[in-house]
Amino acid sequence: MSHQKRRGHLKIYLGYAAGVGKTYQMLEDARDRKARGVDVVLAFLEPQGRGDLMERSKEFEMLPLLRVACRGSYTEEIDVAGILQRRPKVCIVDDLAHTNAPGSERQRRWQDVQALLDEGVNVLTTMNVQDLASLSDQILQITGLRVRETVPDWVFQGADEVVMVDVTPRALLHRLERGVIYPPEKAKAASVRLFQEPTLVALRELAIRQTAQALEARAMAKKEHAEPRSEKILVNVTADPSTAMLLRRARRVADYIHAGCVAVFVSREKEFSALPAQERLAIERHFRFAENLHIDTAVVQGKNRADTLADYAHKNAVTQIFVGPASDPPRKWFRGLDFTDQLLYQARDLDVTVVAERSREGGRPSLYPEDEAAGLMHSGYVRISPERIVEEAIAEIRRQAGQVEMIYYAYVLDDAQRLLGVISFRELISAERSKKVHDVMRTDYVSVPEDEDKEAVAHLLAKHRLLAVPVVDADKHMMGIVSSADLAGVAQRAASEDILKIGGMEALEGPYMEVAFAQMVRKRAGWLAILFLGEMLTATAMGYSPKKFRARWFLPCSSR
Amino acid sequence: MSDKEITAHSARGRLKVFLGYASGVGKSFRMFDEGRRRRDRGQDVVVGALQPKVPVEIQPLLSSLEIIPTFHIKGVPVIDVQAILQRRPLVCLIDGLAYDNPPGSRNAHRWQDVEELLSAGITIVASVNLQYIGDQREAVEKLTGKRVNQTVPREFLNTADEIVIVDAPTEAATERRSVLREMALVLSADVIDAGLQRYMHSHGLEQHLGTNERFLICLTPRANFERMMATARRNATRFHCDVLAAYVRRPDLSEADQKLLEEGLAKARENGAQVEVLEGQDPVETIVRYARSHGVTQIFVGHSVKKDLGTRMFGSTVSRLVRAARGIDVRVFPH
Repeated sequence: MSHQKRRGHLKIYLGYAAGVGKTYQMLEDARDRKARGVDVVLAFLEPQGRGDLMERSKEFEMLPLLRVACRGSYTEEIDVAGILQRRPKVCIVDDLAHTNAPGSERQRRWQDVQALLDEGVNVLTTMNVQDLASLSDQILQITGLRVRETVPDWVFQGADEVVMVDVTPRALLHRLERGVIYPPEKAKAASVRLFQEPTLVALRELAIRQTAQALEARAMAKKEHAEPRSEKILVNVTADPSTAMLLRRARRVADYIHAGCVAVFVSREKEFSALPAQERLAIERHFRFAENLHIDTAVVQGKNRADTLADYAHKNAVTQIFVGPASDPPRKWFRGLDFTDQLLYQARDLDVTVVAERSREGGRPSLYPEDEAAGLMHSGYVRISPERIVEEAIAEIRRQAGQVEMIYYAYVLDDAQRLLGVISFRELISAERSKKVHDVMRTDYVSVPEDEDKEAVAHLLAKHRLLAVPVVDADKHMMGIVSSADLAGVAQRAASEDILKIGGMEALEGPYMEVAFAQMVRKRAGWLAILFLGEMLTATAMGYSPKKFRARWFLPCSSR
Repeated sequence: MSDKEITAHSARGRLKVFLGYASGVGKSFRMFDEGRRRRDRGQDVVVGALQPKVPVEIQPLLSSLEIIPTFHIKGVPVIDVQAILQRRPLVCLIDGLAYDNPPGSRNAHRWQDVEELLSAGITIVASVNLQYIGDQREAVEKLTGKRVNQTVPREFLNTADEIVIVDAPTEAATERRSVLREMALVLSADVIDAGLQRYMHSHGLEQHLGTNERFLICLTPRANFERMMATARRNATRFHCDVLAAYVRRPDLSEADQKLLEEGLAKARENGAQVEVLEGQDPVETIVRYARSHGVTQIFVGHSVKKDLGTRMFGSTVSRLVRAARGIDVRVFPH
């Protein structure tokens, strides 16, 4: 912890929605500092096209952005090296949760900001409460949306100052109606989706609690030197995707009760590398996620998971064990002890907390860390039966087109929802009308497993020039698709404002396409526009409504 | 969309509260400024109460607003409820909610006057300081050493449709001040939560949004109740949340178990816990139903470390509870 340089001071303007005035407040404060003679520069401002902000931003020295080559084009990110050369006292970097374009030196803007802080530059930045990694499950519960671009809690907690920029939801809705936040057409779309008063009220409550927690944590930190952490939480990591949720929950609880936290995987094999590849990859991914949340990780070897965990816990001064919900189905008769029971007996004097899956209205949401294929996939695709003739299949696509997002391919599924083949719409139209689908479909299709890495999926799509790829489990059961639009979360985020784009669910309604496209080409050009075109081709981008969200999960989700 | 308000009763006026946590943070200014803006938007706004001394910066705001003066009994200002009801404005501004009316007044407390105005359908925008809120007074007093006599009950504050914390610049924050600020933040989060729950109930939604934690302690004869309670209390302070306790009445308890349970119940009540007694055939189902309808996020339950034959054969009640409690965490305490 002994840095030679004094670390920069991080100030976060925390909001709960677009339009609460985070950026405005930040610029206002920056102006005061500048008036006092402080050397303030502007490295990045989210280009909302909001006149008042743009006007205000002109008062500051604007540092040039860095062009990052990306898929034959370029995009712009903040230039950390350039800023360090300029060495301002205070640097304004809007939108902390932003994901940098592939090919940037660092993946995330918060990493850029850390680099600036390390070099002693003070940073002013903005974020919404829904961007906090550990809140992801609660946000899902409130909004029905999975946030993709998150900021690890330790980054937020490391802030020297957190200012909550607050307006009441009522006032915010007035602003929305008056067209202050979005142009009228977009405002309408936004109000249908996220700008609902109860949703905003709940998000505001979270933001206020988070601010209170930040204050308390700071007060505790001062006392902590005298008072060692007495609690330690052990999180049981398994290959099950619910581990992601478990880690988030443990992080949150540990922060609140000031406990230590360790993530433990029990390996049946002596050598971790001897595990089946799929399991190993899943564990490695969960470990990366844990480390991202600043949770220590450990692999211990043992035949019986419950025994081994309890043993580890006793030897390592653990006070509480977090496990996921039982995944084995209950046996009716002579079912004996399941894993939960076994652990309870082994844990003896330790508390065991079985963490439940948080979901909205009973649907099973995505539990995967955001960087996996399964975390991005959805089931808005056309499915047809192999026995249909081509003519019927075309009619079927026409019928389904209104409800799905990807009509460029039709997926041929058997009764057990297994993926038999894929056919593009183009191929279907040019096929002989009376032929059966299974005679014209491609069986040499490209697919990805659920836990495939986001980057790998992107590569695959590019390599095969595909607009979407199906996600299948080990038995070829269709789990969903990931389209190029889903991977373009970065683009979606940049193209719209924060709350609308949590979960990358921008509403691409007619007027928006007309209005925004020309503007966007002007403003951000490059790969953004290309990705946006990709989205247009997919008819609509992710547009969640709770009803639709439920419908997405009627497929068998896990048959492991 | 604006019609779908988070109000339990539509005929009632809306209550908006500006909450301050230190004097001089400018809550009166914010409140009157809102009054002026509402007036500019064409709303019929009157001032129902001013602070005894009107600061200079507020005077220009007042010039455009109609004032229905308070009258004084024994030097204490009292809202002229009768006059306001007759005047029937859309919005009435009340600077300072925490006043006790002198004996012989229409109502004993100003907040009751306000309640009357709200019931008559008048929207109230009011200011109040943290130290005057019933359940906050002692904590503030400990911190600041200042004692106040008048209070506004927390239940009344909870009926607010909107609450705004008036925050002062943080630059010169002292430690005491940031503690007060945290208290104000948590209080407003709780008020918001109460409003959200009212909304969910009035719309028949059972779904809990998980914005706030809520613990439920399940009382069973042999459970280590004291430890559960201590942990719940400790964590509840950290999470700033409620603790509930319940037990399911069982006709088949042995005499010894019944006695243990009685002792546990007595201890729980001594500890200040309100123990809900539930009736139901199946204890697991009964507890889970109660937990769901009360927005519980974590169930605390005891578990014997001794295995009996039934458990060996059928699995434990706890593991049944875990499976039944979908969406709710179950924390198991060994005993």
